[in-house]
Amino acid sequence: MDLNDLAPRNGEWLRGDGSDADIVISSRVRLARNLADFPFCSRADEAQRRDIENKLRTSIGDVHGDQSLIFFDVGRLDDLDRQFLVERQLISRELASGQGSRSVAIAPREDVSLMVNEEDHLRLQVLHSGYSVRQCWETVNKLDDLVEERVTFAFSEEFGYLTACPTNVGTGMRASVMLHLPALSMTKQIDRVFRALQKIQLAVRGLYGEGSQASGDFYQISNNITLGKTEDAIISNIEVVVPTIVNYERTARRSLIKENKQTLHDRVSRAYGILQAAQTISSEETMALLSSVRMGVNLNLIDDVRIDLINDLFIHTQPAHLQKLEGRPLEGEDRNIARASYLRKRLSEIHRTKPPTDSQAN
Amino acid sequence: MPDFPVDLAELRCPDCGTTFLDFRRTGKLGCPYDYVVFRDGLIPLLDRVQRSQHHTGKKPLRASEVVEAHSPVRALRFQLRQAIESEEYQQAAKIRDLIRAREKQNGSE
Ligand SMILES: [Zn+2]
Repeated sequence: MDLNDLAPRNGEWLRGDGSDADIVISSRVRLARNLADFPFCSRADEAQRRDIENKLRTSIGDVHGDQSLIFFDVGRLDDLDRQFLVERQLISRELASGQGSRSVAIAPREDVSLMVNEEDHLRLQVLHSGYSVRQCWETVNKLDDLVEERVTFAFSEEFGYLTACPTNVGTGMRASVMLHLPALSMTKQIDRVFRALQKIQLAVRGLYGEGSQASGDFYQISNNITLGKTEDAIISNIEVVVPTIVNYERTARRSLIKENKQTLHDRVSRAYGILQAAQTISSEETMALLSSVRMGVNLNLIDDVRIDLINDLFIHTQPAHLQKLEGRPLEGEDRNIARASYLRKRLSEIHRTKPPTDSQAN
Repeated sequence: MPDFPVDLAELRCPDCGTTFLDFRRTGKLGCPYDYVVFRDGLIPLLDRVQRSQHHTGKKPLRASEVVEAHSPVRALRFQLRQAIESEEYQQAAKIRDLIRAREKQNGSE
């Protein structure tokens, strides 16, 4: 499989199915593991890194049963391909920008990715569309068991799975759920939600790990603590919180509709209008406008565009995706012009291919 | 001034050469054995950031085979690296043989 073949598809995390998919975008569980007989990555020289890679490669190649994994030597990929994998949530920024031998094994469905020689020797990730964090845990737990049959991981009775950074020690687990919260951001209630989450040891980050001002109103909620709690308790903590936040978001949307329907409708329609007409547009503005349109579609304020297309556009207008789809390198202003033209094209196609609507029948 | 005792700062892991001070500078440990060597310094830190000192989650299935954090093979790898760095190639070759023998003995992974 070539990375270029992935570009037209929208990957697992923005597939748009699953329960509460209008708000819960995706769920993910990641486990950090290290081989017992090697130093951690930051202390390993290149020969050791290659040894680690070889050992893990032979041990993880067939753990995914029906789907065989595809390996990418991340150190040999060019910048564009690395950025592309980051945009698809298949590798971390750290693996992309790291040094020395490092790789990733990806399932063709893009729901599994195993990173080798990131901060830890192995990071197993399972990612599902929609709200399914417990299912992610069950899957990654099985993968971990299979790898563990073949290698010896660094583990101590006292501290659990030993990791390069003590912030991951114990379970080595980071469980997260990505939420789309435009109404809570718009009504400035989001900070209150975050403060409440911090009190119960949950962290909030933006789409690509950035701070409070999240791109496209996408927020990732994850556990801060990896030691002293069982994996089950960590998952349960998230499961308690997510439905509550989903309800807050729905309530905020309802009250926006009730109290400010015209203002909201105007905002959403303007966003849609700009995306259909702009001649040059940055990634940041695109994300902000798509966020409004996404909410507008979910609230039936916009009725001629399907949610899948909006989900598609979120990923396809990212810098590396855009360049892959256009088949050429694009920098700065050229990229913004290409992005605007891509948006106009995709959003005008729906009108050309659209069947007669109810409103025309009326 | 560091916020930990000087004798702790100078502790060095025999398996990988990391000192506690290195860890405090980078936030990263050098190898699994560091959790044993720096245990006294790590406990208060874990208490603060993790609010716990003990693992209660998943254990490897082959619990009987769980290795101690100290790994003779890893220690040999560290010696090998040092030998190469100081261009003692004969010594390096000897260590390499020892690593291979150990790996075979462990039924190599
Ligand atoms: Zn060490």
